[in-house]
Amino acid sequence: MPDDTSSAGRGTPEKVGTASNQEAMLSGNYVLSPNTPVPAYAGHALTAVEVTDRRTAAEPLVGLVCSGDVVPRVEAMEALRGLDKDGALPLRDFGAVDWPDNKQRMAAIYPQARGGRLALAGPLPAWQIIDAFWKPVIPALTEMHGRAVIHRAIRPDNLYIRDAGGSALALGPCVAVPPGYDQPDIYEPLETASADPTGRGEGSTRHDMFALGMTAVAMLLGREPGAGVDKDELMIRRIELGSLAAVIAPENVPPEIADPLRGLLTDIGGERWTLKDLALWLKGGKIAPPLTRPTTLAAKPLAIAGKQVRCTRSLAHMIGRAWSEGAKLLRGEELRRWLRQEAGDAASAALVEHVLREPDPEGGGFDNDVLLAARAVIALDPQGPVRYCGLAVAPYGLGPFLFDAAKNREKMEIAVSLVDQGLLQKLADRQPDRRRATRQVINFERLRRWITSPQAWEGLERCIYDLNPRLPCLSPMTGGKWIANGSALVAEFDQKAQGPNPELKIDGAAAAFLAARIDADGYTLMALMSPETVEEDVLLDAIHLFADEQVNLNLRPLPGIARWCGKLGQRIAESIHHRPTRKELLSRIEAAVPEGNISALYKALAIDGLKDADKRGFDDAKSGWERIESEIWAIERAAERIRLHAWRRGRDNVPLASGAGSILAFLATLFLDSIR
Amino acid sequence: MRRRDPQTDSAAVLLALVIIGFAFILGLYSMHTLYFVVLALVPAAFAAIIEPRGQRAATISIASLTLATVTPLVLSTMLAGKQRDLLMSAEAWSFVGGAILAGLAIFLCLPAAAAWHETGRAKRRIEALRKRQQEIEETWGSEVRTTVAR
Repeated sequence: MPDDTSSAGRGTPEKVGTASNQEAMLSGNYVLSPNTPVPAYAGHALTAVEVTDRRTAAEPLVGLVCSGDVVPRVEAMEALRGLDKDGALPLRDFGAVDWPDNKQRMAAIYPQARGGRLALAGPLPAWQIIDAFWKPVIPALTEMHGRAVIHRAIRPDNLYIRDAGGSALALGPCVAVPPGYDQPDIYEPLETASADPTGRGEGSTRHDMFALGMTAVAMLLGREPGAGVDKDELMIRRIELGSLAAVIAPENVPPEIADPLRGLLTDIGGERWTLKDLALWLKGGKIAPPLTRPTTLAAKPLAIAGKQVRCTRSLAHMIGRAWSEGAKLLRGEELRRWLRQEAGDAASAALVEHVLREPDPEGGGFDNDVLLAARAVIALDPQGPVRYCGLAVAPYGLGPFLFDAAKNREKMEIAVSLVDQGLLQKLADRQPDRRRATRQVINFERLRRWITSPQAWEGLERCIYDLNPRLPCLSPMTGGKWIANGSALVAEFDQKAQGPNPELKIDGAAAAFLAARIDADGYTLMALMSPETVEEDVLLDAIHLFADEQVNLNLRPLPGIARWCGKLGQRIAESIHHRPTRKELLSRIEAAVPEGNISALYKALAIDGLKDADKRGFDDAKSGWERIESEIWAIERAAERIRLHAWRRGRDNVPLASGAGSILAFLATLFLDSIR
Repeated sequence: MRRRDPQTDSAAVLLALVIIGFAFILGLYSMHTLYFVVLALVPAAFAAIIEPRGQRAATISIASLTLATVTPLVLSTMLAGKQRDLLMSAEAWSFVGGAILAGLAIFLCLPAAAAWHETGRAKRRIEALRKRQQEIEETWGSEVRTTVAR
């Protein structure tokens, strides 16, 4: 019977070794050694450790173990497993492993690049960038994009030389952290560069193309582009001059790769070169680079938070960064005058006026500084992320962002407020992809409803599970196990219910998880959380939920859950008034529970119309009982009257009886007197 | 005071005349026999005095049985020519006493027996109803009970 308790990865995690020499095993073949780190592959939110393959011990492997602080890209892991192209480190396997902190972690196994990680010691010539970087990487990236995976981690320190002594570069791992999480801002296009690392979203193939171009620039420069420049200053330069011009002087761009760099680093996503364009150019084809349209800059800059901005978009960036000062500027006349007169952007001035004139109806008719700044930024830079109270998130990066925000109370409150204010809907409404935007707006509305809901199975946790479909259950009930689907959670509950304390009380996190993963409705979840407070019909729904999940577990016996459901079933049976039916139900429950067969238990209890028929019968019986009681009462009440009436009737019949007696007396006297 | 019915009055006068007539005939035959009859009817007369008008069941009962006993004794004495003094006959008085006791028994026992019979019938009906209630409770549980009827 297949084991479905661990949906992530192929193997069931198992612990090997002793406490002093803890090793974790994946898929029965890969042995991870937590005590032997491999720093060249480690990141902000992941540990890299040595891995040995039991079958081919000669190949050096590395295991990237996710810390649990961010959401790993399990979908990408599934898509990339088996991909074997020279231009990317192949993902050998992945799955949850038991880690020394007594929790299960998601781990991805890669072969170690024998040539090590790329170290930028100095500028590389253009031909080397083409031969060693673009040429090997493009087929791998094409394959990845074909598998609907955007790499989102293309940067110099994530490039490896697969063969010792070789020069061809390969893309490093990209699955252990959210998309773009470890990317310095400069490798992100303008739309997502200012977003928080966890909130950049999956992005599109254009994100990878931009990173390909910026990595090439880094190789040309021999250092990180924009290194040493203030983060906001660099962003303003990128917006106002263009991403390429902001980091390298045009005269320093070698003419042989000037076209692809202009094509890859254009800030207009729709005009950016695609992989096909780049491959064609590499084969000698002629592709015209996008036309450079210089941004109209104001003659006189506007100062905000110590920075000088010269266009609307850079202004929006700085308002988002310094929202308090930005709000003051927005309320004043100076900004609008500057937009009209200096920046020559009357449309943006009108947008600001519109934002001021029509406060958000959700905000109670008055926008505070945070909301005003956020709404103005959305109006002025609809392509950028939502910027709210110092946080920034792209609409499609909300899942990992909320997961991260939930770890910090202050950040969490801001994130909840961001969703509650409906800012994501406003931004999605202003984005060009209308179909996707409409879908997203509907989704955001649902999230908004949940995030402020007082129900235990909703709130922030429900949003997090809904937006991160492969996130494991975070409930303490799982004991740190990586449980990624409803069936696996049910199997875990079964284990728990088989323990010394068979009482199963599901907490809010587990309820939110079940709501998101198996669409469990609120009443059912309430039944699971506090069965004593709900009606018997709802208890049946809870049993139904477990029965369905047992089917998903290939009808594997679940004795612990069955025992618990048996108790619920008893309550349902005891709610049936008709004693013979109740007895029958209880006997069926008794038969189903020891077998751990919840489906049988459910079938025993789910009788169409039983409850209604029982209610009707009970009502009839009750009224019948009442009728009889009334009759008895009437008889008892009339007893004295009946007795009196009978006595009177008896007395009235005395003459008749004495008449008969007289005849007898006459005859008797006659007879006795005659025989004397 | 209720006005007496003239028809009743005339019936009573007629009855009195008949009784006087019979008494006269009996007196002509034997004064002892007349005394015997009068004395035998004393308990009935006593009952008639005690009982209210219209409710003289005891009077009727005792009188009818006394007369039914006295009549054959007097007739046998008159018609058979037996020379016996009923007034002094212990046997005759025992018959009369038995008749008086029988009349009194009918008067006392018949209403009590009727009341006892009806009470028993009501009890049996209540028992049957309680049994039906118990059956309902066994099938539907004690929750069907209600205090509405009480």
